[in-house]
Amino acid sequence: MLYLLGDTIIGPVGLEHAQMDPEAIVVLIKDGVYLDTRPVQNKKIYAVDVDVKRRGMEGRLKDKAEIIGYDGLVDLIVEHKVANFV
Amino acid sequence: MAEKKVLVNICRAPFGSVFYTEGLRAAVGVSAGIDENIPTVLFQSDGVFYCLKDVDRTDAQAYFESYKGMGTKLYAVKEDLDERDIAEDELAEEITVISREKAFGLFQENDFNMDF
Repeated sequence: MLYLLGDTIIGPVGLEHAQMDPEAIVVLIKDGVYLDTRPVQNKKIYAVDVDVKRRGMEGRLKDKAEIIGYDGLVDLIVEHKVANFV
Repeated sequence: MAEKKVLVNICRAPFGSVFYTEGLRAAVGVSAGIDENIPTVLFQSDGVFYCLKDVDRTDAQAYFESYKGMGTKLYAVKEDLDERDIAEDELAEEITVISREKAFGLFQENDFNMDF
């Protein structure tokens, strides 16, 4: 399942769910780019470029997440069942 | 579209925002229309505060009346209740307490989910 994590209030709940899912794919969007992703570092993690750049988080995320655009995000959403925590 | 199972996932604390009432309203809304989708409401994180039996439901009482008629299930996650020192006897009677693992299963079982 694809986990969309979009803020620091409910995003941590999504992180807990992603940890339980052996096939989880995590996407950090909006304020979700601030989340501590260490609990899911064994999962595939993406972060949305405009949200990363706007918040000055590129340096902090470059080794943890693959940066994608909204076009890539749309592809992921189409290809997977989505759990929303945004 | 045919009938779908829809999970309404309420994670934010009640009051001070429109999230929780919009979530509760959405649960009624998805059941309306020709598809008559089947909603389930899940309270997680600070959202469990809305499960307290003494909480003011003035702005959402009509939705809870609808849930009764529809047989909508309302769940709260035990781990989140425990973190907030909320005992099961403090909850409204229609709330069913489930584990985080069971909540995880609800995301798999339902066709769609919406977060509030």
